[in-house]
Amino acid sequence: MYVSLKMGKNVRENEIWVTGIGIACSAGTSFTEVTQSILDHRLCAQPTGLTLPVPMWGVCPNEIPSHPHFVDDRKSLLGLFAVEQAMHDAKSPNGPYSIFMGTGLSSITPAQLEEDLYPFVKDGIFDREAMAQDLHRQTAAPARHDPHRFVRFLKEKYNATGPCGTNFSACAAASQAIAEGMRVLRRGQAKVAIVGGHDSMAHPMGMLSFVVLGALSSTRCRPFDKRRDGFMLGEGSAVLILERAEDALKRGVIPYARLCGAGSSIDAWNVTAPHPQGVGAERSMINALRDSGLHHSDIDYINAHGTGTPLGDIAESSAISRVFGEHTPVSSIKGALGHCIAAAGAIEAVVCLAALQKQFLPGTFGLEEEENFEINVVKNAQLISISYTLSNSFGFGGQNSTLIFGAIN
Amino acid sequence: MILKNVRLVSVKGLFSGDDNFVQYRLKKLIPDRKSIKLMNRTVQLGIVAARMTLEESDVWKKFPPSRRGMFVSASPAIRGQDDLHNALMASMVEGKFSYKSFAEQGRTHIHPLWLVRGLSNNILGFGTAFWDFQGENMNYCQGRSGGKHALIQAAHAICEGRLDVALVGGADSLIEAEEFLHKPCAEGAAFALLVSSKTDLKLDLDSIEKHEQKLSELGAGSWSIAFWKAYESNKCVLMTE
Repeated sequence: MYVSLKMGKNVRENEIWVTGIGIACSAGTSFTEVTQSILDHRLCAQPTGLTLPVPMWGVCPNEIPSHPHFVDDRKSLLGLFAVEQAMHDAKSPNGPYSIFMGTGLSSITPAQLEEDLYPFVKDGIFDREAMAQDLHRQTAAPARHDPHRFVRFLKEKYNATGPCGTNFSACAAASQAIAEGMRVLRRGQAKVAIVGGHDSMAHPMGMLSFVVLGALSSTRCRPFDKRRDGFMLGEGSAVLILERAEDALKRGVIPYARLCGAGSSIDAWNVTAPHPQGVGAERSMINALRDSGLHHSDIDYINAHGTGTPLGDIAESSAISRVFGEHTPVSSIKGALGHCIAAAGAIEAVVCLAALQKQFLPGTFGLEEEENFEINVVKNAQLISISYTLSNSFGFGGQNSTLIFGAIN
Repeated sequence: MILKNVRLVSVKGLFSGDDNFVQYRLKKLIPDRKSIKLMNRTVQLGIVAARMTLEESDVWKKFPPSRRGMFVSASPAIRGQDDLHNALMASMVEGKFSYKSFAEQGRTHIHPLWLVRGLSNNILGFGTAFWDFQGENMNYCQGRSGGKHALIQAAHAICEGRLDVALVGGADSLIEAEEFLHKPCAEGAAFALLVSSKTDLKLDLDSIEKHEQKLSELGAGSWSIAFWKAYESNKCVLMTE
């Protein structure tokens, strides 16, 4: 049902618009920079230069301003940068605000590790009790590892009175956070939703987590390629400002796109491996189509989770093939940017918005010899007319989340 | 607070402050013994509480897996693990972190499944696999507020037609963190089973809050356990037509 006609735009009831974007990742620190990087189809990850089985990582190329509240927390600095950029981009809409962020494990630099651990080493052995008794750590250490710290800070900064939350669903976290913000707006529980994700795994603890797990590529990430052997770690943050269309129209802002719907599911299979046929992924995409009121043939581009892991790409391509057949264009940007874990869903949502705004299909950097997955994998970026994009995010543990964005007519 | 079109079927939990807590031999109550090595203490508590809740009623089995969802409040449980400290210690050279030492020595101290054990969303991962809940789900990591948020979001998912059944709750184990937090800490978990209904659920939030104030520090499990305690005292939950 269409409820109003202003500025020449048809607005569906409860339509949600993206009115602001903030982003910092290896592809750049603005929507313009990231869009150009994806259009240029360039490798944004860089060599680590470290004596580690981690040859490449996707670190942010530009300096991120520090903040007294987060001097010890890289991922929150990235997050704050993206939030402030997004709010500025959206021309600082008035609340009430709702805030949902996907987040990951603590990001700790080598210097912080030295500061944390070395004072408590006696004869080469870590003294836990000494650390516990240290007065400084009584307040500093728990705060640094509190996943809700960032949202709590934002809630105070923006006096957010709507629902707020921190989603910790591994690689599906940011996508689920965006979906939550959309639903809060649909219910009328807030006027503005500040949603997205932030994470940094470009630090010893992050690398340690994935190195021991054997999830990282020994060379570089090659989604949907016959030689794929894992992903590259990345860091970044992306934040969207969501508003109901009628509110945005009243403010006279020009939206980027519509957030048409979201779907979620869980594999209910195995915490360390995806369902081999991607049954959960399939359901997530179907739920998102249903929520959007769209048919699978409406989707012009699928931004795959596409981690480049041997099992993950099989499961996802199998699911895509069943829902969409073999013609809908699919690509993954993780071969160019690295995998930003809890922030990935938001960064890839921004890639979908870039595709809608500039009317192109992002390519799959790293793909050379395509595996026969019976889906239409886009190798190089292509200019083409598109109306709807779908973005998948699948988390370790089996959580699946899908978002669908539509161009503003 | 009124949650529309949901019925509360059962609420169960376990709390370290209770006299009968010692009777719960957690590992014996995990549905799949092989999975235990991948579960930290918080996850074990959550899975046992979820199992107890589901055993109260078979009503959830009438709905297809895709219409059964799970919403959880839990904390990441990587703190205080000695294997992490040992790995990082082995990576230090003259007080400085060395990536070379990390590559050669440090990482050998870490179990390959270290990350998996610490993930906060493992209650969801294991619970949904044990009981075949394949529908909408969320995992919140926001301390004491997580349980309430999870319950409200689960109720919305049912009311808005995305689910018919939701298993919702929270868990945490802060016993090891007591030395860092410098206050009495506890552990426990509680889960509730919600189903779609023509009736509404009315919650007395003040009563739940009073129960929460009586508890030791319970982190992400706090509100869910208070909800269970208040429910058992018949003071917090009313069904309305």
